[in-house]
Amino acid sequence: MSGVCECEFDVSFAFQPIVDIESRKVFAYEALVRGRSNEPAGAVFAALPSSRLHAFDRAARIKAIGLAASLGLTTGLSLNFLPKSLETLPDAISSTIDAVRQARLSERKMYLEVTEGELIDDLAGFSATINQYRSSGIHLAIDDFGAGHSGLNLLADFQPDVIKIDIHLVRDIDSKGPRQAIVRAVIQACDELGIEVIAEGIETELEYRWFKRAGVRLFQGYLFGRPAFESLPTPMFAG
Amino acid sequence: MTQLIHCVYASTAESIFMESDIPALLERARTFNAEQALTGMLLYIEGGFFQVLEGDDAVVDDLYGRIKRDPRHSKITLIIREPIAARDFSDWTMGFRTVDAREAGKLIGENDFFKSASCVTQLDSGRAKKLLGAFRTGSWRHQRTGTHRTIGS
Repeated sequence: MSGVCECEFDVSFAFQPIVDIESRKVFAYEALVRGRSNEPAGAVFAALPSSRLHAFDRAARIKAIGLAASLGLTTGLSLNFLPKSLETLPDAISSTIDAVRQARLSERKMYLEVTEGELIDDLAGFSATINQYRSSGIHLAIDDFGAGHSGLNLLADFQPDVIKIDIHLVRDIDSKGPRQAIVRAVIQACDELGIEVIAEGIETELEYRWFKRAGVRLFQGYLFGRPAFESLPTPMFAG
Repeated sequence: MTQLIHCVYASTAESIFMESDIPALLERARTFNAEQALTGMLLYIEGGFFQVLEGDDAVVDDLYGRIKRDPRHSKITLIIREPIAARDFSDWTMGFRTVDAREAGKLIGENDFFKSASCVTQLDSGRAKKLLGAFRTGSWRHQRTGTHRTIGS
């Protein structure tokens, strides 16, 4: 038995490009939950009993992988993941890897996104578990990096493949000194540890230019492309 | 269960380390690494080492434990140790490259040197390559000029 039934959750996805400004190609698409008729994620989660959250999280990834494959995905794919779901659903990650293989996609192009806030409760336990799965080639990204209390401390004991800088640090960074100082420190630590940095939520040319000068090459945000319902949109490249 | 891992560290050569020791060191490493299914690379830039070791976790950890006790270097800094899906240096139990001091002075900080070192050219865009780039631009070492050697170990 393949284990996971996704029929219980009638949802779909929008995909937003994450671009590499050096190669001018799509690095990955992030799969964002939507309702069957493109209702926003908030509405989907509001209708979901909290007891089903982890099962939903697992089923959603499987569905997103199937949809992305049917749309002809050739780039990376970034999927959200609730680390606590591993406590109740030990196959939370292995079912994702199975789905990737069944869809004939490459594990090495898969990124699991975990928010910083969800990680800090049991970082040691989580990193031991996730490291087993990293042998398969899947990558781990920390979302909203800089939003929680741990910040750079998180990197002392666990080094993800990617971090996504929290949108509150990104907004108007071109004119905010403290944000610039924090983000420069994050970028330097990531460079020295071989961690990719994604600037997400980029909306203005000025924000983009600041990050580009700081050495960041991966971007996500309206400036490059909005999420598109059930399609893999072609990004726009800023000058 | 054994797991494929890589371990990346940087260190500083002690004065008892002579560059003329390198051929003998490589010869011993080649035999040992082939027996233990170890792969990786060693970069030597002006008194600083940067090494990537790949293999089964127990084998790599054991070797790293002995490397740490080797008196020929100091300031040994473990940069990363983590599971990997595949080796970046699968064809490299050994390799060797030198650039003379004059050339090195020009090449340091440029991509060309790293592009021309064959064990580096084949690198996938994973962690090892990014760390190598960080080492190239000055992280994890104290000095920035001198002789470069890339050694697939």
